[in-house]
Amino acid sequence: EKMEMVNHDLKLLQREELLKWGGWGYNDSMFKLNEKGSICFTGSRYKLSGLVMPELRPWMESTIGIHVKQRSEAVAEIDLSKMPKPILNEGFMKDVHQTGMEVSSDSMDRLVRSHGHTLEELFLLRKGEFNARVPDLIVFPRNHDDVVKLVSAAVRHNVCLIPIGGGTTVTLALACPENESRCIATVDMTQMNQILWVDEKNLLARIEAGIIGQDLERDLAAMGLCTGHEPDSMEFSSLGGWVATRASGMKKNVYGNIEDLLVHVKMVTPRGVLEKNCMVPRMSAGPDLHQFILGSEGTLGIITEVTLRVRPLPECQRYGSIVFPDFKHGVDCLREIALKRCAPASIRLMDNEQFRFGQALKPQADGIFSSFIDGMKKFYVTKIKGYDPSHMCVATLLFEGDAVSVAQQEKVVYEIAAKHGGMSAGEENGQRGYMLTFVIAYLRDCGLDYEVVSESFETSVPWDRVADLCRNVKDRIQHECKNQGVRYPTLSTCRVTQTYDAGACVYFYLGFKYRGIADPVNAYLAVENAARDEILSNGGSISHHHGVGKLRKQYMSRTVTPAGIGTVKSVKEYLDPRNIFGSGNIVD
Amino acid sequence: MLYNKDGNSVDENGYIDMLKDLKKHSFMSMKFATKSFSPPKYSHCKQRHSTDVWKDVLKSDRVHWIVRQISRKEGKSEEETFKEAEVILKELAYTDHMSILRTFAFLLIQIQSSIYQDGVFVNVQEVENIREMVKHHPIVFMPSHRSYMDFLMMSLVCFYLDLPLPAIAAGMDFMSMKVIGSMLRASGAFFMRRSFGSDQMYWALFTEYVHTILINGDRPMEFFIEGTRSRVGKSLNPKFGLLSVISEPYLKAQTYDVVIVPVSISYDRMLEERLYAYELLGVPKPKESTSGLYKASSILQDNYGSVHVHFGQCLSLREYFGHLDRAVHACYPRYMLRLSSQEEKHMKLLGYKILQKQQENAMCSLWSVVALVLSTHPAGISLHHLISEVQWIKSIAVKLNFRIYWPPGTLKETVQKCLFQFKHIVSVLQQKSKKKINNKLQMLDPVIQENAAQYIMIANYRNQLLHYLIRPALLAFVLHKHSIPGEINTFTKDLCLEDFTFLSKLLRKDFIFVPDKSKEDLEEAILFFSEMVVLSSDGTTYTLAGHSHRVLRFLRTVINPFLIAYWLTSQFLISSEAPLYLPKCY
Ligand SMILES: Cc1cc2nc3c(=O)[nH]c(=O)nc-3n(C[C@H](O)[C@H](O)[C@H](O)COP(=O)(O)OP(=O)(O)OC[C@H]3O[C@@H](n4cnc5c(N)ncnc54)[C@H](O)[C@@H]3O)c2cc1C
Repeated sequence: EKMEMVNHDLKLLQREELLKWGGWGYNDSMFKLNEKGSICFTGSRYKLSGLVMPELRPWMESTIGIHVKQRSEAVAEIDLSKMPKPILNEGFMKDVHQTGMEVSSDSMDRLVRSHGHTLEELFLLRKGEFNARVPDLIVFPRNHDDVVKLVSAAVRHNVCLIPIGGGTTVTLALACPENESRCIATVDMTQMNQILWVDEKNLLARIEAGIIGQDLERDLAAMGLCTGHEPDSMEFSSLGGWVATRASGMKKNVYGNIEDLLVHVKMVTPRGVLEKNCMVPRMSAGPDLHQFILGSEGTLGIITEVTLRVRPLPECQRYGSIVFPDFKHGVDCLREIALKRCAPASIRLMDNEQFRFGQALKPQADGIFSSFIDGMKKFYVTKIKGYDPSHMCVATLLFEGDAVSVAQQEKVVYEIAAKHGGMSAGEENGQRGYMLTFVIAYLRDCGLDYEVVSESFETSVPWDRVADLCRNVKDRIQHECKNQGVRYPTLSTCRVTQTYDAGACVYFYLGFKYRGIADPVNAYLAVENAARDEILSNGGSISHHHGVGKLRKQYMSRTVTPAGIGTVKSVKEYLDPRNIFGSGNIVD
Repeated sequence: MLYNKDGNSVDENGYIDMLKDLKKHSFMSMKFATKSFSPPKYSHCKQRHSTDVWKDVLKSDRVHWIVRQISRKEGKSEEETFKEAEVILKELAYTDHMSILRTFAFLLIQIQSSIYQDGVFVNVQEVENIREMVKHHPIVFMPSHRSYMDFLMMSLVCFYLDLPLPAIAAGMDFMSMKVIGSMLRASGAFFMRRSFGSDQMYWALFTEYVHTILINGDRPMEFFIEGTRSRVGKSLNPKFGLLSVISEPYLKAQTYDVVIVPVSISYDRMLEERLYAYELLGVPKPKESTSGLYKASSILQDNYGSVHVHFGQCLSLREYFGHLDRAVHACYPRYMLRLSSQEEKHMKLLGYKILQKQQENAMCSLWSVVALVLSTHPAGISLHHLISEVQWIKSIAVKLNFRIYWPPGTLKETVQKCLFQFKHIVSVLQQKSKKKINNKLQMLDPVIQENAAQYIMIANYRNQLLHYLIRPALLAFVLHKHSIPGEINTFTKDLCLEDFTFLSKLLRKDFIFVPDKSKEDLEEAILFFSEMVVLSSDGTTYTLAGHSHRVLRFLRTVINPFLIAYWLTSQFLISSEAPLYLPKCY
């Protein structure tokens, strides 16, 4: 069965009509308390839609201390008249109008393109408040040439440009610098959403950068192809955004991360278009310029067209899951799987807290969602094998390829697992894990309704440090929450989501109920910063794929030497001497 | 039983007497040894057997790396090298046997109740905190080291307080003691060679062994920062090797924190008082043997007074090293022993800090005050005079918060009781009411003055107090040098600093001075004198008060022997015609 995908052509519609302005995802989809007092998931877009999850509320009560009577609802409507007045630049407006591309100064259009999805941005929106600066103007280029004209107009009139794709960034990358006194034109790329051509001989496709992930995969699938790039945000994030943030997809083991998929790219900078003259699998021509475009986070120019490697759709997809007696065993197993280079398309190892959270998300009576424990035969797992439910962990697997190689891979993986005390826990559990991927993002809004702030963040770390880092960071979160005066139990959990030869990507989830804390956002930020400090101290990176934005700029000097920062700055200085792309991301 | 449950009450200094109930009935030792024992556990600890501890060491990256290196260098197979490693580890490792431990506890508590007739006192407030810490962080106990009894005492006290029993880094010499050796091993001692500086393999195995215990938190770690027993009653300068070993897991982020608990164990009377005196006189140290220890203990049916075991405040390495960026280790494998120079520097300071905490928390006895007075009157002193001197020191001690246990009763009574307790060292000659150093002790070498041993014993007890006096005493010498009798003498800090620094450098092997901190030490000395109203200050200059002679002279007299020793040695060396051989250790 193919993973669920929402059947909606995002590009044909104005996103405002479809998406929430003050929360994650589709208007009709959310976790909500029903009249019987259980949490259900609304709408009809996802497998979970319309189902009740009776265990979820008790889990939220006991794990984070929510109380259904202690609510903190968002404002129903936002008063757009309070929005900061736009700073407009007549000359620029005139030049842009002449190109024929669409321009909007509508308040709602500006609001929804003024932010990404960090906790602090959402918290502000829910209160109905605004940052001091929001985009003054939105422009909608239709193709590469429009962008060339747009950038030169911006240079002529000294206008600040901020490109936006899906707006799913979680690093404050889209936030307008408060001290920007020029007109800020946010460049909405989503009208540039065509697959320009496909070259099946060379397995390449040239695609406009504004295309949204789910549209791209659907259009390619119609041709029997795929990119295989599936970040968890793929329903809403864009190709240009992936390149600009160095995104990573769940199935990178088979298809690679965005930098592996990218064969050719065009970026329009104030100095002109930056691109290579050929589309080859590899080239030795000095430092690789693609590496400067990848991860540029909108600071150097606008990515307009991207040529990606594509693959034939896989013949066969199989899910799987493995239980381990504890997290350390799981990590050792993943490490060996990485060593043997037999990792399935995706392999994710949940810690015990997440394992239990997964249980709590079990909907009432549904075949595929039947309880994990039922599937496993509780007795067998906990008694005979001696697994302790308070330590046990689960890994979910997704195999892709032709039937023979998938079967082979499964065999090897389960053999390695057995060596590390792991035991297959069935296909359904694996499938269920991956299905929850898309709906989990909706849960934060539900928490926010009940005085809970939560966020996820990630890092990459060498294998020998994985288990220590996970433990220390989770401990640090607990300690810091105490320091911040959190009075309820803190949720602090992690999972390993990617494996490499030399290390892994680890995701942390953090949430706490803020009742009694004067400034929940600052308390939250203090905790996240403490956690990031701990990550760096433990030999982890500033980020595996979310990027730096403005949220983690403070850690750049610890991440690269002054010479490194100077290099980044000097490239910026050359390509964009007047700081047209003035979003202020990565370095100051 | 016992602790806190049967209302064993806390005295005014915050101590409870571990032996209190044991003296009531003989069966109480049995009850003690069989009491329930359920110490808190480190929350991230993975349960494993003591044999798995050393087996896990063999699996570690560090050991694999070293085995590979050594095999290649010496042209051996890796299996061979692993075999050798296994032999070393087995020799090193502790075992755990609760039943042996309880037997041990049974015997030990009986010995203790018979010799420490005034009690074994433990401060319990901090223990509650430690008990909580144990759950969250790996713990390292760092007791002061004056006696064989120290680690037995630590384990017994932990057993009593329901604290987890430590794994103790003990010297190899104990291992050769037949029964005791294996008993110690069974109760958590592991044995390390005294010097293994160049033996890469040994160092790797030892380090990894300590690390795995610390990181997994099987047991709290225990080691002596002074490296060896101090035979002279003063603290020895810190050793940094083991301190780096236990700091490394934190600095390399293998643990969230490591918490150090400095422990001060203070004895009214040392079991080894004579042994140490003879050792210092050059009589070779008897090899540690079980029969030796037994003999020692059978002779000692006397009252050894009381013992104070003081758990100091928990010292978190995370807080201590908090300002250092641990990411400096991110680009090297963690099994490579490698600390930054910043870390080395702070490690040293930490060593001194721990020692100073041990000194601060040590409980000095009335006897050491008496010894202080006696030591300044080598020809003897009248009882009356002695008491008045003790009274005078007490007034200073109380004013400056020296930690001294003043037993209840009048000073006259308690001093007399004290003299009786130490009648093997001092005797009161009734007729002249004069006290003299007792001559009755057996003569040693005819070359040595017959009562040298007693002098040394007295001096060793005196030494327990000197950390309170050394800084002001050095300043007293400096002030003496610069003042003219009969005039008003004023000083500035700068004037004093040079000589003060010189003296503290000269005596840095004798007393604990944090390197390059003589400014702070001088401040401390000035503070002492300001509180004593010996020095008054107008902000920049200090004026010596007229009535200050007694204090200054007293302090100089106390420390004089140390300076004279250096002076005599220098004289000898300068005048000596024989070729000089520097001892190997320099
Ligand atoms: C629920 C959730 C799940 C997520 N899961 C993943 C995941 O699995 N993997 C992952 O890698 N990330 C993930 N992210 C982060 C985010 O989706 C990625 O960073 C994504 O690449 C951003 O794409 P976007 O189109 O939304 O970019 P935006 O948010 O619109 O912009 C991000 C940055 O890129 C710049 N930018 C965007 N388009 C262009 C362009 N065409 N030219 C130049 N600069 C441009 C912007 O200026 C901005 O600095 C997740 C985020 C959320 C909220």
